[in-house]
Amino acid sequence: MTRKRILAILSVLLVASLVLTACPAPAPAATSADEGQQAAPAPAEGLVNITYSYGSRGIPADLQMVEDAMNEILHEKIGVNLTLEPIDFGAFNDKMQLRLSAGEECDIIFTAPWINSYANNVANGVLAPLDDLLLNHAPGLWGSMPPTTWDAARVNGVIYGVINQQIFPKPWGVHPRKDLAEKYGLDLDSVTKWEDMEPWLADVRDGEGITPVFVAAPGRGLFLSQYYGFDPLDDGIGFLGMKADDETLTAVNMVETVEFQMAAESTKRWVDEGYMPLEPLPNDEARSAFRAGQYAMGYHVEKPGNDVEAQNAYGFEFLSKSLTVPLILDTSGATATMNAICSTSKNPGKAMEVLEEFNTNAYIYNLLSRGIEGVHWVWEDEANQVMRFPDGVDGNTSTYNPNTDWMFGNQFNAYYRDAKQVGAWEATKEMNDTAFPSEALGFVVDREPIKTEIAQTSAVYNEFVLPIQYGWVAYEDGAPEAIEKLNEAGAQTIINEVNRQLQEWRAKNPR
Amino acid sequence: MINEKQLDRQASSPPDPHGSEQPASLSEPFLHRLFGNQREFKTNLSLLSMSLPGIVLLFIFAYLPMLGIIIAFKDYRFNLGILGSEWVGFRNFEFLFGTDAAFRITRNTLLMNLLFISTTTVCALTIAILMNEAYRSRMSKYYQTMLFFPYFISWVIVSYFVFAFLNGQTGLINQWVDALKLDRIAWYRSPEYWPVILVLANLWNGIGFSSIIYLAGILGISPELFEAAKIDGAGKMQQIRFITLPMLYPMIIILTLLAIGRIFHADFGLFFFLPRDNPLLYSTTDVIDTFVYRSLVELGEISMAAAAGFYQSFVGFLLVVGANWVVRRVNEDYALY
Repeated sequence: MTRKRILAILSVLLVASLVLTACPAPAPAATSADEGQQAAPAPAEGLVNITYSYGSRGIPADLQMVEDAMNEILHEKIGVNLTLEPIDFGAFNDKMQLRLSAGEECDIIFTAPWINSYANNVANGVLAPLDDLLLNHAPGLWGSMPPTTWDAARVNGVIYGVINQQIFPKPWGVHPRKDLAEKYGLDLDSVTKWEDMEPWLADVRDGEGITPVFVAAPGRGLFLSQYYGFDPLDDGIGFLGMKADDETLTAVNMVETVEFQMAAESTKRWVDEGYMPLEPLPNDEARSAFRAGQYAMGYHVEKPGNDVEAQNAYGFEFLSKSLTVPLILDTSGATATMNAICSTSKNPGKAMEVLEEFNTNAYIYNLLSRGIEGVHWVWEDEANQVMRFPDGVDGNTSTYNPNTDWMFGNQFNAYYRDAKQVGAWEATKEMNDTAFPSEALGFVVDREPIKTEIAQTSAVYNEFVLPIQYGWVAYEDGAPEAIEKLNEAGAQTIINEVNRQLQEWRAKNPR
Repeated sequence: MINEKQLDRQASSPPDPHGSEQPASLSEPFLHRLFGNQREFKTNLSLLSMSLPGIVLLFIFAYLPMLGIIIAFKDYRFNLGILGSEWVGFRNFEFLFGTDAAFRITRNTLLMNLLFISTTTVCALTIAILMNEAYRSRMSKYYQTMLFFPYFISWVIVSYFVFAFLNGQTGLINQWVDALKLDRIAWYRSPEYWPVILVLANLWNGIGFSSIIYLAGILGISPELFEAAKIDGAGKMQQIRFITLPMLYPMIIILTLLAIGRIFHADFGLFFFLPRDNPLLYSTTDVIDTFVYRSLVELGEISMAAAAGFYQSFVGFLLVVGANWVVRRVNEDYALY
């Protein structure tokens, strides 16, 4: 009797599991794109196959067309057949880590401190050393940046990643909406710090009945390390920082500093006063709320031309001003976006030659980042290198618009998207060259001896420090407990070890 | 897992006419050791062969990966490989127990899963019994589908539903609260509400699936029993109490034992997306899986993640063995093995 019953149940379970497994099976869009890639024509005799794996917002429809256009030149010039392998951003990190951990062969990959972690990849030995390759196969790329910039990509003296030139320092600042700035009499020239925005924010809040400052979930505070003069040393260790001009190279727990307290108190005030949302909307919804005019200002990296980028994103005209003085050039800023060569690559030399093309050949670079002229974009003003979308096409409907210039190579080779941006690359380069180099520029934390402590403090940081930083908990209420918990979790051990590493690094790299 | 177990039991059931006609071509002493006497094997050959694909899959996906456990005791480096990486003893386990969060995440995981198991069992049984009553009604398929449907919705999407109800600015519930002239409730800043919210969400999601399993169990009960009870004058409640529930006990116990085996594995999607990874809610929503994610997302340490997974599986294993031992003490027939 019991057995019969159980058989009945089992058959139901079986049917249910069949239904369950059958459902998610068809994913036509993704697979067809993959197949499209694999169906690429076999390379002609004598060509070397090189793949490039990078993150992408979806898979562009005209990927194959662009790849063919690039190969037309690459076949001839360097004898390479390039295969583009865009991977959706949502899956990029996991997919790359999986591939690398499985020892799968790859050639060029995108790597950064924030995704497909450069530090982890170097520690895991999956990236090829590049110093010799750069000298022998990419002299133009090597010469395009001063040795001090290359130093930022060195781990234990060896370069493992090619830095993509773009904005290196972080000019944190504000971009208020132009119409509201005029309506409520904002004098942006006289604004030098976050707090100077407050009278205007109060007027906008009262006059427009909105929460003026754009913040997306989970939350965001005013404590941005470079604004307060800190070099964060390692983006993965939230509380760790060093004053960028500290010649003694002493890392500190930033939560204990007066700068953090100032920022936390201002953030709390902005939240309490209703300048910042208490419960921010998820990113997509917050952005569409911005487009609908429900925010008056954002604060971000105010690089040259950011007003135009904000206008493209949100539809309003913007003003933009960096409030970060002086600008700080630190390791994480200089290495924010990199392309690297896998140690499993069979043709590292050819891969480096491809990177040389990405970084020094403006035509190749713009093919990759903008698509084909006359198909995906047209000249607006060729003399000034200004392009635009063809008539009837915009960023969303374009069949090839990765919109990730910073991923592929030297962004200063990119065509401008708007006449107002002309000159922005020169201005950015100027910023890069004149930024104040952190005393620890080029130093990279070796996480190996302290990884247990990093894991422990990372959980504590998210739980106790973020609520203070986001302005949900007052500094004086939350900070003592947060600092105590961080220390219990091993913050001091981390700081001591990092200081030891800093001194060791300084001994090898005198000022 | 349940399939193999039960099919094996089934295998010793009355002779199967088709099975007995199969020729025995495999080496007999080996099979004798494996399946008892030859006749028994022959009679069950067709059933055994039906279970073969399942056993192969189980071997590939559950037994082969077990070798990977050694990663938890190694400092795994991609370029050195699993065997080549250095042994580090229990170092990878330290981060789990290094702070006082260890107690909290263990407590939350255990208590929330206990709540889930008990509420799901009770509610699913109730619904299964109700659905059985309405089984011949034209609406019954509609009810089943409606209850089953949430099972297919991902937690990411559910988290947006929940956010639409609970958020502080435009949330539906707070708008009703406004309309009633009551004080707004800051759901996303009040950890005390979340055990209830999570239990409700889990029920909404899983109830259809569990109740259909129980319904299948009820349908398997011989109608003669109910008819006999009716003739003896038993009412509906008495039929449920003295026939339906006792006949379902083995099934309830098996499902509960299996759930207990997973009691150290929290549903990551539920606990991560619904509270929106909000630090203010960690005191009641942080479970082992979310804690491990939060600790390691920046670090990318495969070895430490493997250590956490091993710890969860090991404790789950002990719990299943322990729970099964208790069941066996109470009534041997109901035990899983």
